[in-house]
Amino acid sequence: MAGDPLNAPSAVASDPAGPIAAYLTALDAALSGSRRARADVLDEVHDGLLAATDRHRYRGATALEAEQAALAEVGRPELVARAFAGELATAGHGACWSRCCSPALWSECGGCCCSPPTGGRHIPASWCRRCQCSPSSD
Amino acid sequence: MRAEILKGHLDALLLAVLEDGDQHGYAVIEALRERSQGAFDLPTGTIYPALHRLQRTGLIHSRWETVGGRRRRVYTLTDAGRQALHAERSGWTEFSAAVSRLLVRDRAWPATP
Repeated sequence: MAGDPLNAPSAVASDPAGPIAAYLTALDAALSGSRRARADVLDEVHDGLLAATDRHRYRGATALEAEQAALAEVGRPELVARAFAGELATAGHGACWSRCCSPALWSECGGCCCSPPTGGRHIPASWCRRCQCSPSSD
Repeated sequence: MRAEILKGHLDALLLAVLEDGDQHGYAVIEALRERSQGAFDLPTGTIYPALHRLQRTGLIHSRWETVGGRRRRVYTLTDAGRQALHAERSGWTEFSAAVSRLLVRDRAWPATP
């Protein structure tokens, strides 16, 4: 799509492992959310980059040209990270809630993001110590 | 086509692509590009979050597969997604017909007596 800032040339640092590795490192640094959610995004983007590289190679590009063409399709890491921000925040909070704060786990809350149950009652912390989300906003 | 116009219809387009069968993210992007004959060439970075949003709302779901030693996320249209696509199609048909009646000028007008 012409004129879209996501199509602007990527400005990631060079990496001896190649431009895709450099891109993924930059994207990882720009992404927010839990480690697991970020790992899933990175795996998915990586798979897409390799599929795009294969496509360009099939059309006659050299290995380097193919990787650069694939990177031009995906968009700059900081803008891709921004596009993911809302989804990662939602996913992280949902995961935190189910892992730490669901009623089924209240008896185990002592070591996680929620305050320990007191007298059979569950008192959530004002924010989650693991992912910084707010249980009250769920 | 301007990106902001396309983005308003992106969810329906993604559902339409997945109607034909399960696809991984990049295959969805390629199908969008090819079926629109290059008109819909959005950056990949905008498509993955849209797929995740559709999954969160229950219109598609995903599973991980291992292909060639790497993890691949494959998306499937759900029943709710199929119903949403049907509703989007009906809405689009009505909307596009109404817009065409207003904007398209090269139709033959009935002869006046």
